[in-house]
Amino acid sequence: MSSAAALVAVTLGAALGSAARWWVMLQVARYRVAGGVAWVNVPAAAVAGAALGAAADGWPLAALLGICGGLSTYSSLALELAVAIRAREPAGLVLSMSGVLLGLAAGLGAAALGAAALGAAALGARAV
Amino acid sequence: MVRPIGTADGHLAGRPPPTDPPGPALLIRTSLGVAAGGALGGLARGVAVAVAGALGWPVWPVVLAINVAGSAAIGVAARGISRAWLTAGVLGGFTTFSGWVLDVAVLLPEHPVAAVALAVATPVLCVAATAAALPRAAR
Repeated sequence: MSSAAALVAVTLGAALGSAARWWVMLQVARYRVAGGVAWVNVPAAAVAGAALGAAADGWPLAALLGICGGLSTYSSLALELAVAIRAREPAGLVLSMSGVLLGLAAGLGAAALGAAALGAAALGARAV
Repeated sequence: MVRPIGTADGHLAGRPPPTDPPGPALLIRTSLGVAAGGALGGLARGVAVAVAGALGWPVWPVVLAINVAGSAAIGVAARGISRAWLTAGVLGGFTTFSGWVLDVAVLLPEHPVAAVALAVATPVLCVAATAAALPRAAR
């Protein structure tokens, strides 16, 4: 796969993922659901980890990582954490950090599970 | 002018969440703006990672720099009216939580110390970057 094709796949995936994240966060804000960006970051990390573990390749991997990269966010997470610290809301900070740890665990677990299921010796390429 | 509507950013920055659901036209327009911004941010991230790969650099320092830069930028954006296409779109598409998790997963088997360092450093540096850039009134 050419790098140009990978970039197109990543770009289109990021557009889709970002719009999906915006819609999910809109629902989170409207119905005042706890958890914040963990609602997008944890599933995105799990799917990306599974793709890595399953050694996916080519444009499907690029598109998938584009979607996961677009669906997940660090800027909104950093804002969530910074606002919780500044507002001296330890409960919010603990909740956000729990989401971070859950996302890490989901991604690492999915990668290990994917690799184990396919009997892959090594993790897939970290292309994008 | 696109009226800023219920982004989580706006809610977190202390502004009240919207009470009236936005109309379908505004929803469609804003979601298209977020998708376009996300495409731009994702493309910028993809180019940065591709360039790093072409130069033989590891990916994780690039993703770390992207996440810290995007976190600083959202702090700056919080000084004004939050624009969904910019904050949720460009910055959300540019920064990546899943990419960070992947980098930790890739580093872990052979470089466990570096993996743990990246796992700890990324959230710390990103929060510090946002906090430094946030307006004084919100501090």
